[in-house]
Amino acid sequence: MSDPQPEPTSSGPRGGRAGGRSELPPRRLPWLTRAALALSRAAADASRRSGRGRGAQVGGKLAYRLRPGTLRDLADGRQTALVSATNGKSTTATLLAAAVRSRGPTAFNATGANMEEGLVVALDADRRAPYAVLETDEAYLGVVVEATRPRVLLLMNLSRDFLERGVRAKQLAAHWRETIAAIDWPCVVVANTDDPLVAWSVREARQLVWVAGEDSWHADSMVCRDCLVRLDRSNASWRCPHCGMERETPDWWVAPSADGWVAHGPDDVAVLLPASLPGRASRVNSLFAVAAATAMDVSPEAAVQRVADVENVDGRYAPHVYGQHVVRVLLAKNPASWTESLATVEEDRKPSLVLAMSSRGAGGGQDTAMLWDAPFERLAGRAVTTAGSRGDELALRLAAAGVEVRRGSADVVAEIGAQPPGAVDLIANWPAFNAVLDRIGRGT
Amino acid sequence: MTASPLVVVDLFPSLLQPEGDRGNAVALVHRCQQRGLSAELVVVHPGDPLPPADVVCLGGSEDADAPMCARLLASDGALRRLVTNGTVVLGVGAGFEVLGSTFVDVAGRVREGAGLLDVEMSTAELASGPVVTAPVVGLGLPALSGYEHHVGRATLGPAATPLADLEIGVGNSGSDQLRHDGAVQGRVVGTWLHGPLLPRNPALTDLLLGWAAGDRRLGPPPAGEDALAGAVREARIAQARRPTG
Repeated sequence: MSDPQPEPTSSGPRGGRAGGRSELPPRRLPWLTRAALALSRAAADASRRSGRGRGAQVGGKLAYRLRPGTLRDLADGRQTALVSATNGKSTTATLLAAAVRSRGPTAFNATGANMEEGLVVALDADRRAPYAVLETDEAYLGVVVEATRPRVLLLMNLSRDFLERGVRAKQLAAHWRETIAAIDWPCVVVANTDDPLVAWSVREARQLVWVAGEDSWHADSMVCRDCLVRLDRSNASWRCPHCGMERETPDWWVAPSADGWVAHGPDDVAVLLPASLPGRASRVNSLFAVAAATAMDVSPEAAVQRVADVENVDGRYAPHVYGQHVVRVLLAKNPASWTESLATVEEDRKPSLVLAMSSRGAGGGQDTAMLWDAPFERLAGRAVTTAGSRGDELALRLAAAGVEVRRGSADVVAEIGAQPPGAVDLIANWPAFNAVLDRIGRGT
Repeated sequence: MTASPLVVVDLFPSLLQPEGDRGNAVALVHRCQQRGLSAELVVVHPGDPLPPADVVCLGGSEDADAPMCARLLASDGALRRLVTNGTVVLGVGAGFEVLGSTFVDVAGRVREGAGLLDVEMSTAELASGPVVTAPVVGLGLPALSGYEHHVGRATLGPAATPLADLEIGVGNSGSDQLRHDGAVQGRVVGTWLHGPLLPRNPALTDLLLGWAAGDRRLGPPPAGEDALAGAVREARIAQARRPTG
């Protein structure tokens, strides 16, 4: 770890030191906050009853508009961990929440609604939980950090997203850097030492825990952010030849053993990671969760025990039985997550592979350019079915990558049903992912 | 004697956040191979020497590093020498902006561009959405399909001509009188069209390859994949024409 614990400031982290409390004492929120929350609950109920959503967005948005300090009021008194990244934040936050629950009741935004309004709904739903784990949209980190004053801030990766989302990895890194520079209370920043953009963004953190995140996507961090010269990369390390900024030695890392993958941490900690979720990215997400849980005063042993219980993250990973098929559903929102998902389906090949891309609502898909940044060449020689309303764009990309393509229809579930009976892997962008799970169930 | 491979450079993909524009370079190489000419894709990062190239692709979205990119493009004159010798250059989005005479950086300051296109850039409201051009009669191209996402606007000088008139999209100005996208000056082409542009518009890919191939022989275009690209292009154009896009 890079620096000693800073001196406590006049305004510390919400909740102070972890104590394994079972509940927060009853307390009265400001009347305006109570009124805003009452109205937001009514709006969320109406949204759910109308079948238009799960209520987290509309309810929280109303509360936030009526009373911008609602998030601050609801976070007050809790020990909070925030989890942010371009990819993996839902999974890792789910794992971390499971681990922190070993200390006591923990509020968690399990629906994935990760902007202020979603966080308001999550904290309101669990008003007396002394702990909170909040997946946080990477572009909203500043306002959420300021409102919740987290005890632990877990930052995993930054990479390009689909163009129409309008956020850029470099700007996000600058936003994170400003956010961290403004933290004036004891806060442990748990950060990925293998992602140069993340490492650059956390330079001013006063207490740092480095995790070897094994970043497999380098395209957005090829050059030093300060010097704009190409980074030297060798043996999974990186260094700027101009200013000397380099990969820090990790406090946490994974290594193989005869029994499986082992998480190594400070003070000779060595705990066997569960294999309940598939793929390299899940292994790394588990490592991040254990490192952050340890910073929340959960023992590493208790953390891995709880992490092992997680087999499904909002419909992802767990096999869904659908007719004669057993479907594993992976989400791919951007080139880095396509890269990880492709690695996962290649590491553990199922007989059938369906790739789906659709365009619907705010989840992207109008712009399909990011498909051309992902390494579909890895599937060369394999038969793949494409589906979704933008499945034709996938087929075009796959053809250029030398993949044998069967062009399916816009109906992704029908294309799953058309596969030979047995195991099917589905990789889908956000609109296609949600459309499929709405029909075959989320399994949670 | 075997013809030398056609060299396609993907220039500074780490600098301007190209977001899918790599597909243009991939499409050029793939198309070459389909048409019986070997091709090589070379990625050039800041600090790397610019090799002799037949096509240089420079993609991107507006970015704080654009001034550095423009300086690197102009610094040793290597790109200008390639252009003088006939190299084809395709600039998309921010790549188009930095190829011009001037552009506006993210802080709102006017900066000097690489000067390979007689174009002065300004800024306006974000233009984001599908684009359909009119057929480009002068270049023998059908309507082009793409996706724009930019605040830059382009005013063309006398040495440059628009790449295409627009049916749908904002393009260079968004003005009803000047509905154009992009610029062409010799073998330097700039456009706002992401998508990426070339995989969806193989006729434009073939045009650029024809310019770049010189006396190297290109076989006939492959029918099957053209049908797929054509279907994608027509589907996107039809969707863009619907009121909901």
